Amino acid sequence: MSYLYVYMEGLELHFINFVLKMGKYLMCKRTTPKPTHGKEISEKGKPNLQFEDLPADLICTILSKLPQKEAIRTSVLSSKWRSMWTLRSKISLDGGAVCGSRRRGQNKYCQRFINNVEKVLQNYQGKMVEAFGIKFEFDSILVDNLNKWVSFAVSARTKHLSFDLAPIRFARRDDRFIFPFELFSGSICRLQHLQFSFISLQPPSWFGGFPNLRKLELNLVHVTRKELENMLCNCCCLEWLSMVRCHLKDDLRVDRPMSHLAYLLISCCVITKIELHATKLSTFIYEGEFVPIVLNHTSKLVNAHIFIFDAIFHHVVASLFHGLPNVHKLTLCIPDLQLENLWSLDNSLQFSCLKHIQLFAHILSHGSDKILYLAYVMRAAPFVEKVEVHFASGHSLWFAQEGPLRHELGHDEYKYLKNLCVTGFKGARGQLEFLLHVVENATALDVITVDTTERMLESDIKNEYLCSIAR
Amino acid sequence: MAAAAAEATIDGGGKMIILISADGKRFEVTEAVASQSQLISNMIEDDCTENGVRLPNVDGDILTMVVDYCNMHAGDAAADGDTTKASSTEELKKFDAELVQALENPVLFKLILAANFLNIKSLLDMTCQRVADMMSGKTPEQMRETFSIENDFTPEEEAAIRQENAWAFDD
Repeated sequence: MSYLYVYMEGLELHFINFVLKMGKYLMCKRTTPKPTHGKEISEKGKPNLQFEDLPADLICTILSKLPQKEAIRTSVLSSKWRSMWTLRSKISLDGGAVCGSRRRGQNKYCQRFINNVEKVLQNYQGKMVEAFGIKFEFDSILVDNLNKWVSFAVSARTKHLSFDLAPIRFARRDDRFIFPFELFSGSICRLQHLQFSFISLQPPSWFGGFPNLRKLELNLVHVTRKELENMLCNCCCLEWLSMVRCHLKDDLRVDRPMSHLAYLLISCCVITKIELHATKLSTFIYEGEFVPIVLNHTSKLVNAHIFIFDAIFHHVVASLFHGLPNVHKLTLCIPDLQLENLWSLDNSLQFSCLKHIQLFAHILSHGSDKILYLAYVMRAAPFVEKVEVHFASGHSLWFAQEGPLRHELGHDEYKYLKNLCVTGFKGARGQLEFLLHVVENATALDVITVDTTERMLESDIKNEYLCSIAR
Repeated sequence: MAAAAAEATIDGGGKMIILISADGKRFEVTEAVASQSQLISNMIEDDCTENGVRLPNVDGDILTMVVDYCNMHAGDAAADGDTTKASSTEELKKFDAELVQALENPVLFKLILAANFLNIKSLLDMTCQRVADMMSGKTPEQMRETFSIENDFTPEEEAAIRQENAWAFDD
């Protein structure tokens, strides 16, 4: 009886399999493209397939790879090409490309930009435009048109909107383009990616957020704590948030969980505290003054990159214990690093997931006697497998003789440490004692790299980077 | 089983499948290689590759290129532990450049259509980029020459079109 049962079951499965296969076969068939293209590609007698013969979506893909200007130039090729460039569902208009360098007066220059943008947009009336970007130095003359262009983006169902209005010299300018949230009332907002630069965000109380927004990039944006919190609370799909030079002068705090947020970058913002409830955060980058960071709900924080202008090393480490307890890889860069000899770290606190520590330590001449104390950070990370210390010091550190010997630290156990890398090694006592301390206490150590050349200090990279975003 | 002929296995253990071009040429490739095509990958998942995969709108000479490309790039997608097969990034770049560089336009366009039909994103991207590069930095006259486009505008009409978006035409 049991045999029969099994057999029946097998039969049934076979039948289900057969039905599934049939269904799938049909599905496979359905994906074949329309026969017209098939003809073009297989007919040997007609080898002269032309650009214009490609299907519209491929022409769109190709033209989208060209700069706006070159795409428009194709309108003059022939009557077939006359409007082909408008198949491209990406508009990006940059003041420099559209108006050239500023020779005439400001008003004329703005007017010229407006006229040229309007002419381009005319070609897109009633069409969908996936990505729409405007880059032009903000001037109050533009306000009406900027509003109009936002309205265009709403009707063109734009998914990626970029308004970069930052002037080259933005330091003393307090004016901003006030983003017209009212244009989003009543329509389903399709925006998925927003890039704002030199804009003021003042969402009205009824504003329900951007329900489809995945990526939000803010640069030189004016917004208050309350308004930002309101907005972020209502963007429940947000995965990517970056804020550069947005001075809240207050806490960045969102009480509601941001359950999709995976990437967070805060750079050069005057803020007092960062506190978010983001369980899926995997990358966190912070550059700025030393402020409390509270991201202790994260469970998958793969990468934390902390660049603090100047701070006392163990204050930073102690603060990160509380704020980023689950980080896997921690990069810490403090250009003006101050080390102190006596640490009273709470022993119960540990980075229990930390596997990789990367320290960029800029040692000033008065700090050379305290280098050994960098080892304290390892004591707080019992599972660390890889430690990199990149020293930058100029020449003052060569064979510097100050500082304590390693027995002052006592015995530690770095059980899992396999890889140690020290660059910028200048034979200073602190460096040597640090190295020996680690080697003597790491039983599983596989690889040690010691290099006298200084790896470019992270701050140089950062400065370049900051200059590039500041434009 | 009849399917056994088409589903031979090789020493490496990867299952083989047969791709059949419009003109009846047969190509035997591993599943790993063929799955770079999203279309074929779906078919493998759905178990409908047993009797070979007929590609009625891809010619043999085009399919040869596609298979070469997929063989070359099989490393990127599949090999995690298998570093012997994975070609270096530089090698791949060189191979890609050489693949599209010498192609006549109609062949390049056919390759684009095939990449689109087979849904091989990286190949589609690369071939489309090649066409975009061929347009980039050219005057309208040079573009017409590159793509054998016949100018059917009168000089007056052409001037009027240029005037519409004059900024795009001044250098």
